[in-house]
Amino acid sequence: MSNSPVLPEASSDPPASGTPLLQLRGIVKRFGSMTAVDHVDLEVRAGEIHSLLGENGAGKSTLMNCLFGLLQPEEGEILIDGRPVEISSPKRALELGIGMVHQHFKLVPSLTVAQNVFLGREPHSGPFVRTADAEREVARLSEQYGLEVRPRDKVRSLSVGAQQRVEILRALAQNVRVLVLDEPTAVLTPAETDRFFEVIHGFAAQGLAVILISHHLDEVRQAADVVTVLRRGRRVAHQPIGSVTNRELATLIIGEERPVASEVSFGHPGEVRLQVDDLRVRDGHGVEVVHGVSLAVHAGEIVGVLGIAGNGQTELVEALTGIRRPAGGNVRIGGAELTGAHASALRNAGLAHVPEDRNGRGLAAYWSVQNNIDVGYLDTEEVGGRLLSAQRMGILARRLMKEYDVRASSPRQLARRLSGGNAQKMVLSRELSRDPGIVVCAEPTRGLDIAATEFVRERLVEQRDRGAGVLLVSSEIEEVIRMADRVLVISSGRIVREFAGERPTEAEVGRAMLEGRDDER
Amino acid sequence: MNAFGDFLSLTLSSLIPILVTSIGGMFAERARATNIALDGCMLVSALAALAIGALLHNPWLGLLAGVLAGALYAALLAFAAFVLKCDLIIAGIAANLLATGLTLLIVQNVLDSPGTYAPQGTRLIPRVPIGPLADIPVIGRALASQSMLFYLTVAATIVAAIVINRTRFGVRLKAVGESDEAAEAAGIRPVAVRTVALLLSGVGAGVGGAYLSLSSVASFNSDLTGGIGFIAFAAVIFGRATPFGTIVASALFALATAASIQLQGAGIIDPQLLQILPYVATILALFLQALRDRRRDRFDASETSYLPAIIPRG
Amino acid sequence: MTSAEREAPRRRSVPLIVVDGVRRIVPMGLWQSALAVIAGLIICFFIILAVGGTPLVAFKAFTLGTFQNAYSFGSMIAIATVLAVTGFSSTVAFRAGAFNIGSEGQLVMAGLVTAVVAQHLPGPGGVVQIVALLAAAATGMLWIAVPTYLRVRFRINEILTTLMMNYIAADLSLFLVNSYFRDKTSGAVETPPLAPSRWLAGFLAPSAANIGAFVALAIGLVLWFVFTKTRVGMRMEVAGLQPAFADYLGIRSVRYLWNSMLGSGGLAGLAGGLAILGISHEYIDGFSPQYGFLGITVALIGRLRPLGVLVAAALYACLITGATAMQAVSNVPYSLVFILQGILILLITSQGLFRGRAA
Repeated sequence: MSNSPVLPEASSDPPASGTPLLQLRGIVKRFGSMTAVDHVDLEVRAGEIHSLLGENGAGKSTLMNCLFGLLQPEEGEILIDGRPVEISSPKRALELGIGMVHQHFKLVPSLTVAQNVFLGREPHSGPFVRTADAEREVARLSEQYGLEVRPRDKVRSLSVGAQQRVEILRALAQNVRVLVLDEPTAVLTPAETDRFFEVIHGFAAQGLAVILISHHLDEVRQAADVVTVLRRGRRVAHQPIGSVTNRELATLIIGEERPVASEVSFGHPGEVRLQVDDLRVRDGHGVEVVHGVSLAVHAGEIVGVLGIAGNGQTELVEALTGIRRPAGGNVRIGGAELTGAHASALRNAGLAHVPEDRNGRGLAAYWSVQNNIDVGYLDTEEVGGRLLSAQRMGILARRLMKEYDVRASSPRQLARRLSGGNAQKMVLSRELSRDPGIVVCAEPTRGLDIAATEFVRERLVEQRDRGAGVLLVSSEIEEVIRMADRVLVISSGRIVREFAGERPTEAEVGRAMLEGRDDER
Repeated sequence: MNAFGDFLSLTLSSLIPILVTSIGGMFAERARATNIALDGCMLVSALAALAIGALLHNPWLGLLAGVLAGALYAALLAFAAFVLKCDLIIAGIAANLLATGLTLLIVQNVLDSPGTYAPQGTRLIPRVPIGPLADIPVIGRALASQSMLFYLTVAATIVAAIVINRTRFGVRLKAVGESDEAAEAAGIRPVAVRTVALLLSGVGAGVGGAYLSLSSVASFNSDLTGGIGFIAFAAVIFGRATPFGTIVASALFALATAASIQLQGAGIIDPQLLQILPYVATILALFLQALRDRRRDRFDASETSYLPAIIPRG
Repeated sequence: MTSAEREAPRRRSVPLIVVDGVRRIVPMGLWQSALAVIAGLIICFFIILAVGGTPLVAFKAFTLGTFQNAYSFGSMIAIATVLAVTGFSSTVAFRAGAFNIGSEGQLVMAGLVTAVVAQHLPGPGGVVQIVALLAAAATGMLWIAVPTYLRVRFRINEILTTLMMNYIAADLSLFLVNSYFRDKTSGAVETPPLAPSRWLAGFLAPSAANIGAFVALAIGLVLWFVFTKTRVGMRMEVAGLQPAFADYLGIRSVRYLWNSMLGSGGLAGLAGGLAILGISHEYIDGFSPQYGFLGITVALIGRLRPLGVLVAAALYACLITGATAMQAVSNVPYSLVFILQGILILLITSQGLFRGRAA
């Protein structure tokens, strides 16, 4: 963890004066030994658009969940109009006039817009819903705030942008004064985004306080009045947007612009292990989400594929590992053409896969740790001759559990009882111990604590030094930069940038990730 | 034309127990609280209806008893699912088996009649004479002397459609059926909605059961339903748990049932063989539905999709 | 393309019935089964108390009736034989993550085929018996092939289809017997009695206990062997437990589903054959007192473990024999068995009861 110098925190008060509508003072929230939010202050005034910036895991969501009553802070207080309040639940938050629009919408697809807006609070006479009243009210709100929706449309038939408008209307219909928008533009098209910012300016003009969580600096600049930056759970900046440049903001978000410590040495690339040409993949709805990706992974190198989640990485990995059939293109492993091959063929060709969905795909939750490990060795003599040998299976599992430091009460323990770190170590012990020629791992350290994260990274480097090719697909900038010999930035299903040679800085890469989207516009 | 009128009449009387039960089952399915024990509910309520109807010499009180018994039995299922936390499907299978045992035991020990229970002089639910209207060709013959329950079923179906589409309960039912998360975010308690939905399915099955034991012959044995509850359940699935779909599916299965009865009389095909018609029709219907769905789903990644739990455990 | 250009979530046409993997429903140990059986018996005691004039006599007969003489004990063995095999049938399907509640239909059709083959096939008794049992297993497989095909190919939920196949089997078998195979001298719907050379060799005469018991034991051992000692067993287990994980490992879960379902149907069919050749010695309507459904209970009590299923089958057969004895000495009817069955399934699959100890 760095304690790099940062820009001096602006001490001057934000533009407006008087009592802020919302104040958070000294909020602390810990999860186990990790402090997710560390004495954070936040002040938001009526009529202000306040942007909350920070990397994944910087504490933004935790802070907002404390505000919305989904989490209870351990220290600190929340004040509304200067009066301290206790926010025990989302319901209470709404009563206090705090509304939140999550990234993941909580809408019922087969109901109409009006039904969704008033779900749980339907205007009624007797048992009957006064549909006309509900629709009229939605139309009124829609008009007042410039959120275009047709009250009678089924949510199912709406675009993602329109669904978001419904979510916002739902909050507005409950007379909120503080509206928290969690990465609202992530799901919008460029045109929708521009329109969206006009709308939230309208909210501010009507006296609402808007808290905007975003990754995109340009958007923040376009929309926000004031910006608060969190890094590693601490507030590192709080100032008017006009007083800070994008480059400064990026530095505040990511930390000091410094060459990454050479803790991880470079590898010595050998022959090509994985060759991907013009790969096209469709998602479960039949929509193409990977548009002609080409890449190569050599023996003895780690290639990082970095991108904001949801830019086609998941489908790319599924196509490379035999879980999803590609729609087009070519995959060769060690020279053998294996496009669209079944996972078993790929595994036999020396591919190891550390999947993103660890608990769904990477292990069987209701199976013992021993079985979860041994099942990767079913094609070998390690688990027995013609018949399975309980003894050999036990020895193998215990040996690998020891080698990979999988802490379980016994090899017979169900995998579902393992902590995230131990579960991932179990997956690694199964995948990496087979001396694979190519390792594909997706978000290998997601949700892990620091020790487990370090463990996983060391093991991946070890694989590279052994001569395996490693494809590391991740949305964590720091991880990819530190680990990868080459960094490929993926955006909207395309590789938009490659960094080779010297390790790039986080800011450089971060800009490529953020700007990749803009290139598309 | 008379033959056709008779056939239509037969279809309508086959329709009653299927439709009223599936309309009840529709509520449960819509809330993602699958009631596979509709058949068991029908069995229990058929016995309750007959026993109370015979005891009190009043078929209407019998019907009421049947409805209560059906709801009570569905409450047992809700208890198993939400309190004992059993899997709803397995609990439903258990409830069906339990219904067989329970009714056998009661018939034998409480009602002292081995095998078939047929109390003497039980008054049946009256049939409705439609007077001069019976002279209308085809329709008149079909509607003449239908049970009162036919009209009750039609009314219940209309009410159910209104409840689903127009009331607060209907909106919440749909919300719970599609997303617990969305429902909870709106302050709706999924378990409460599901419990009510299960009770409604019991009420529907209760009317259906009472029809079986109190409409044409006042007798009961443990084979009385002949799987009608399951056919009704299939109608819910085939009808996608929507009022219109459920009505159409029920009508389809009633048609198959009526055809099998009618043809038995005709003596062209062996009557025993004809009895399989409704069941074959059910499988065929599900097949056609799947055929239609498959076109939409063909892009899914793996061929076997993992299906999550019905009710989130926690 | 940005994500927003994708369409809004389409209406997912998932099957309306959603089923949890059954292995997840019964993850707990055999001890919960034991507790459930005890609790079930206590409930039965109160039911007996409520309906019976002589509760203690009735309850004693119910629980211990099997052991009063060799005949009862033999009957128990005979019933346990069939129950064990239907229990295995359910076990194999459950382990593959599927519900086969159509064992009853598979068993009935197979029973008829067995009776017909055993009657009409010439040759030495032993050979005919083996051929008849193989035919029984094949019939069971055929009967489950339809629902399995529909599930694998079209994702039609097998619960409804296997169930409908039960009703079809019941009516179709009656039709076939009536039309082609009926014993003309009998008033009942039954095939002519089989010659004793076709009967499975018995022991503990005159009870129905027969060498089928060893077949059941052997199947139990084979299943135990397959489940615990072979790679196929392990792959099958993971395919049923978590298909997404199986796909990731390169295990073709569809193929294993097919194999398991056919195995399940085959076993149910075999159970029908054993019931015909070992117990009823002819096909008669109602020769199966719901063996197929009882198999589900037995499989759940035995926690889907072959040896557990054997013990559960013996236990349940004891209760069935006991219920018969009870019916003779008191006015408590045999149907108590079905009630107990329902109660047991609920208690055994409950994740809310016994929770403190399970965790």
